[in-house]
Amino acid sequence: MIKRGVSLYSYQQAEFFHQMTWKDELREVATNLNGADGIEIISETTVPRYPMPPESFYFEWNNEMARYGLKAVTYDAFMDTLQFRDHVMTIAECAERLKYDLRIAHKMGFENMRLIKGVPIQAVELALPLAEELNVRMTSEVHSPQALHAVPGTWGESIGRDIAFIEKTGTKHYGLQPDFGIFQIAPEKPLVAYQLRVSAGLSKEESFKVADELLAIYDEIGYKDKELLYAKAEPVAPSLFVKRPSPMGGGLRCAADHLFSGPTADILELYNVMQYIFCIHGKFYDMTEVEGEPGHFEDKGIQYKEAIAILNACSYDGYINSEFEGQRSQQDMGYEGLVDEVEQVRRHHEMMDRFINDHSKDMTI
Amino acid sequence: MLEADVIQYRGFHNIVEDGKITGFQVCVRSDYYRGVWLSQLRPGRVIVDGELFPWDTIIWNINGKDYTTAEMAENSTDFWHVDKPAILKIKKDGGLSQGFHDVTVRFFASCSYMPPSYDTFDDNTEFTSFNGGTYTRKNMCIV
Repeated sequence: MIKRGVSLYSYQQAEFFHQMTWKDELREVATNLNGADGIEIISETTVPRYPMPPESFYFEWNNEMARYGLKAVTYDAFMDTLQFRDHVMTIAECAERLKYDLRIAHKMGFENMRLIKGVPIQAVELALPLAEELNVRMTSEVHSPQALHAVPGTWGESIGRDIAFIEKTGTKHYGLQPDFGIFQIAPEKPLVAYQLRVSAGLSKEESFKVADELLAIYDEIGYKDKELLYAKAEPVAPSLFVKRPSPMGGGLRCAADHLFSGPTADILELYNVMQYIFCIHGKFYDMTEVEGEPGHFEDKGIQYKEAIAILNACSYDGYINSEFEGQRSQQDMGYEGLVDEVEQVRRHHEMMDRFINDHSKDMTI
Repeated sequence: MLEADVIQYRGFHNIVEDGKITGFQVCVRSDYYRGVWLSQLRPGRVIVDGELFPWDTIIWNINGKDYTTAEMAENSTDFWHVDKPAILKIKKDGGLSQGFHDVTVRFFASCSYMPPSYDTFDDNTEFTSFNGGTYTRKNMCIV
């Protein structure tokens, strides 16, 4: 049975407005999400004085987790290779940092430790014996714009490297952590509206109105016929099609290239990598009520229904942890325009719970 | 509590030293979703009503301590937490006049999981991403 949890990243806005602390967030997860019990954290955001938290923090953390019967699922570690300005961190330094993080994760009771993209596999290899000793499994995130197979010569090369390493070592302590952002089948309305405000200076109302028009065109044409899609969408929102040099490389790109890209991974590829998946990031941006189904919610942009059907079919019994990211594109509209993260996460769990427990025929792909 | 805008209304005022106004300060929050070591900060220029204050003349106060930009670049042990504002202290004899000012601040945080091109901080562009950029707030009031 698929298990449900929440990455506290989802409540980042409530944290910086000092509306919720991690303790409030644990209580929210345990009380209002209909049986969710998993917790994921961003290392230093939750861990005070990272990487050397006081002993009292471990006590507080483990006590709160016990109080609510929660499970520490995944600790998200980073690797700031430019921390020291006189040199880029060496492989040995990276491995040393991974070991520090593993010890923190272990003392906080975490089962998995998510590694940020780009950690050299040689550093993973050096840290692996400690991971095995502490029984904390390291995961490599598979994040948009990656696919679920290796694409040589690109950012998406690493998954091939990861799987080869797992096969070579036979380890049970290194695996994958897909982020559902790779299954982004349609643009998210708040993100499109945000780009319109930024690029064309539209007001809030105008930006959502034009976003609706663009989404209607996308619904009709889809992402595969780019030429037709762009020909129809450009007159509606020319500012999204202004090409600029991309900091990601690869020549000139426009906002539409990102918004209308379609999924970066084929959902069926989940079958190929299922045995390596330890944990999943349930990325989402905008939970809206399903038309004609009061109390039921959906993220129209991400293939949750299909992904969960496949996970069910494969008897995946790990966690999907909510990772709400829609707040970040709605913080330019004043306090009244801010999104309620707590409500968004509750809706996300209503949806996941419904899909996980639905084995009816229409769930088959 | 922080304000939603990167540039904060709170804390925007002139600095008085020994009875003389020697400059002004403006507070910013990080636009990134996680904290950074001070060495990861890429501080940029400040512009007030068109007047430019070069990046390396600005003092950053983080966790109650003053740092020059050179000191921050060397500092791999102190941390700027995502829910704490930084105070930028800018020298200007006589400070800013009473009334409204348009303020622009530019800074970035390096993050090693993005392509290296993301980390090439250019003080003279407006490129803005999830980990930093150029921020402007108009009609900031000094009383």
